Amino acid sequence: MYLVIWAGIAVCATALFTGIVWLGLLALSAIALATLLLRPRPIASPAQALAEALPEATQPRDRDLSLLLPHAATAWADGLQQSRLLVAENIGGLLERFAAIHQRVGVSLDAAERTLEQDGVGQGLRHCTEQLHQVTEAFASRGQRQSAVLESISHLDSYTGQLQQMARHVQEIANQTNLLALNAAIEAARAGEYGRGFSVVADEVRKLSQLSATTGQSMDAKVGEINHAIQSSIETAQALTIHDQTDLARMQQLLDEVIDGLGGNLKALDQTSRELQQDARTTQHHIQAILVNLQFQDRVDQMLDHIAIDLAELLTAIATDDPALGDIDAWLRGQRERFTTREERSGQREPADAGELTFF
Amino acid sequence: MAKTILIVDDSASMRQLVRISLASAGHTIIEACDGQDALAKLTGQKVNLIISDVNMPKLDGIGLVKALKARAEYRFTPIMMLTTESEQSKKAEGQAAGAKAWMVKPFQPQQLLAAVEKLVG
Repeated sequence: MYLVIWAGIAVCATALFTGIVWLGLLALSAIALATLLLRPRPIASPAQALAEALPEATQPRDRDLSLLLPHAATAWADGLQQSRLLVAENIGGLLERFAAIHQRVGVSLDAAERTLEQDGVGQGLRHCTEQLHQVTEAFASRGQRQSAVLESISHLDSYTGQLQQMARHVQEIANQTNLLALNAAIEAARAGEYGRGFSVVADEVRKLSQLSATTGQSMDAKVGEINHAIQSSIETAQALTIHDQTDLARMQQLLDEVIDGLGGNLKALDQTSRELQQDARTTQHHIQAILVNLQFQDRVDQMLDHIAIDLAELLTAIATDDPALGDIDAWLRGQRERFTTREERSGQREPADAGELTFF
Repeated sequence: MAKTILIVDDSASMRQLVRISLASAGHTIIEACDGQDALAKLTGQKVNLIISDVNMPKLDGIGLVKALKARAEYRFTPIMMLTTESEQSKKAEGQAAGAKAWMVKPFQPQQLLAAVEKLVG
């Protein structure tokens, strides 16, 4: 066929140079026919090629399988056992750690809930506010007592006025007495020898009236001084009271600002605490779910245990050439009797009856 | 009130989880790895509750319940089965043997605590 194709190509080229169209078409038809008649070569798969390449002696036979199986099965059983130990050991470690985290989160949550149940930090703030208000009230009460003292002192002002009036009366009486004594002295002089004794008395009365006038003036001056001192004290005390009231108002304002600021911060803190509590609760639920999920190890371990038992029984049966090996159905029934999980019984993933509880 | 509870399970991790769950509520825990071990641990020991797996080597859970109910000192001790088995026939077997409750694994620690509270609280 290859010869026909090459000959066709040569004729086709000749026809192309000579211009004989019908000869070229004929040659092309011959090439196409020869190509179609060529059989495709079979392509061997790698596995097949490998199998064909193996020498006859290495092909598996029943005799070789019965020799190989006990060794291979023992290795599988060892592998299973090691896997079970590894999984059990690591899952145990995980369980312990997650349970510790779960417990710690629980303790923290309980403490946080107790604080929040008692109105959290808000109660502490209210207590502080009450204490601070007591301080400001104490200051305000002190100011009121100071005002009462000032009012009492103000009354003294009216007393000193009365005292000054009385001193002036004394001066007036002294002046009148002096005038009377002067008239008496004139009348005594007019009486001559008979009025000499009365003249001495009138002179003494005049001296006494002058002394009374001086004393009245003195009293008036002293009362004036006292009055001035009292006025000065009242003015100073009033200035102090106004200063104290300004300070008190400023202190109250500052306290209100501090309490408001603190209240705002504590409210934010309280909110954050509640959010943290919520997060911790969610984390606890996640850990609980992990603790449930980690129990898969128990189910898996049971299934692997059953496989290990099956392997051991199979090996024993092979070793003793047990006739039970011939009854496949009976053998599989025996396997199924060992099943303890729904997955084993159904041979597929089953929804777990997690935590299903029955009281008898 | 704190109780003394015996946990019987051939899986160390399951015993560990049950112990952690119950110890958090203040209970005292004794562990046994199968039915035979449980009978040995119970000698001279008073417990308030027994929580046992069903499928175990040497002596299984149902066998353990039967053995305990045959002993005068444990006749009235409540026993709860904690197992992957959820077959009704197995549950009926446990009830007939004398078990008081049957919980299917996996379980939530709170569920276990609630069940224990109901049995011995």
